[in-house]
Amino acid sequence: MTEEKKPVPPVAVPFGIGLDIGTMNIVSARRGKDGVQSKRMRDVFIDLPITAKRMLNYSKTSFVAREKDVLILGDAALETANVFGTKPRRPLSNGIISASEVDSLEILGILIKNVLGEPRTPKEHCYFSVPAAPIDSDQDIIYHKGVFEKIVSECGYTPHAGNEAMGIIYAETAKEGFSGIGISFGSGMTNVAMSINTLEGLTFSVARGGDWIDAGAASSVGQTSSRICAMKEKGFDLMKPLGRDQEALAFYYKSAIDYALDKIEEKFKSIQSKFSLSKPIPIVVSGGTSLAGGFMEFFNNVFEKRRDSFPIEISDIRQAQEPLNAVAYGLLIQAIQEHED
Amino acid sequence: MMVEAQIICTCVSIWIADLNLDMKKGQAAIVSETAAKNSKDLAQARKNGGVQVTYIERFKELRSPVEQSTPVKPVQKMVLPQPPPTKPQVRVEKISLDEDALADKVAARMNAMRDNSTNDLISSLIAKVEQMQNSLKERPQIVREIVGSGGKVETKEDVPMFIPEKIMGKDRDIDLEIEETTSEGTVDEASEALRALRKKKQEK
Repeated sequence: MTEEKKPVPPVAVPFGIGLDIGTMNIVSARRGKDGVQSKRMRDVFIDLPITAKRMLNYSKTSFVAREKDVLILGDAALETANVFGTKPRRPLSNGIISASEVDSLEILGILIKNVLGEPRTPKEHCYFSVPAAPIDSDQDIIYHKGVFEKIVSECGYTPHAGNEAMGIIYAETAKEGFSGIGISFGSGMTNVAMSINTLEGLTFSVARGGDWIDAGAASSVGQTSSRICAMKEKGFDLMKPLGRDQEALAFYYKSAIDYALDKIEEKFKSIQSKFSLSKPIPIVVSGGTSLAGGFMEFFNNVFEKRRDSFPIEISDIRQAQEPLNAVAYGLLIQAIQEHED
Repeated sequence: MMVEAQIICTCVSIWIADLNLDMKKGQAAIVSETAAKNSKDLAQARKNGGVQVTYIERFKELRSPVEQSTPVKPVQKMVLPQPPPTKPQVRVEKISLDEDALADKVAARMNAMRDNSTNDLISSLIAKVEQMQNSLKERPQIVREIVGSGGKVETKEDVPMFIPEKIMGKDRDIDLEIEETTSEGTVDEASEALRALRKKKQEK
């Protein structure tokens, strides 16, 4: 006697999409049938003279043809830039839409449309990341937010702006009741959020990220930023720097971490009287800059030296499970909730 | 030989308290060398450039002693009451500027210089500014200031800002190479925990 196979009920896949718009990468995340599907593209582009069109057709590289030039976007732009020995351009600078790049909006529109894809339901909710207002530069995020609301909306979604570092909290601190400190070490800036049961206690950003580290190390050893960046991405151990270039990188990494922790202390002390923490909370570190070898050990060492004087009791320090996707996952969780509400 | 100090006032007016001298510009006074050298106020005035001091050497005239046949009745020195020291008065004149009157005067002069071509230019400029203001009003996008709350970035007050009406071009549909991954992730557990937390909050 054979067992009659029962039909498997279709899995209800929740609607909603999270979109992390960073200086170096654009990442989207949505819930699929087999798990969480994420799409990632480099947030860079390069322009070539119109004469390069034929060569690009032969090499089957996707491009946008304009009147006088062609644009190559995303990862292909990075590869082409290496071939031509030029520096790829970025639509975002220091985490915010670059005012000096006249093509920024058009490029971002194309990149985001490709990363988001079509909505699965009309006006599907999309949470996109927005950095907190920087405390050490006069950059303005109002225009940045407005532009992305427009782009996401033109892609057919209902846009919602979500704080970048809060995305880490949503994705990584469920077991702590969504309480903790999320630090997103990005390329353009470092974003910080402290949350108690999903309530934002503190959010800010500092204009020091991977680019700042590269520039600092480059100027101190007489190199170019792109060369230092290439060396960094090739892989090195922060705990065992070899040679002057790596030592300079380690120095600037330490400086960036110290600076972020200094600012957390400073900001927390200014709001300390307004609420109390009933129990220690974790620090969750994420972002592309945190992918350097030995980063967490390095971060721990820097933190341990100041633990006694740190105004917040910290339970543990850990890295996000997927540092490049954590923010997009957190935003996806909020988008799913938006559909359920 | 005796030495005297000639003090000449080089500023508008000065009061040298310990010498009891109240001087106006150009006035000169003579005091003994000792008095001049002991005067702190004079030293200060000199340092500040308020006075000029010149020491003058004088010869004493020697006379033969007068024979005194009868004792001379001592004359009582008449002491005049010293006038109270008066500080140089500083006159502060309040200058008031009638800005409206000034503006009227400038406008009157400008109007006199205007001709028909200037009038036309001004009216066309005003029309253009009004046209621009109207077109900005018609733009649908208004971005607001951001404040934090529960991860969702919200807006607080109106800060009008220009954002192009259409960012995406229809002719820009291209397929780009995208890195796609599927992972187990913790999204489901986190969503469940968030749901439970919200429910708990609502019950409270």
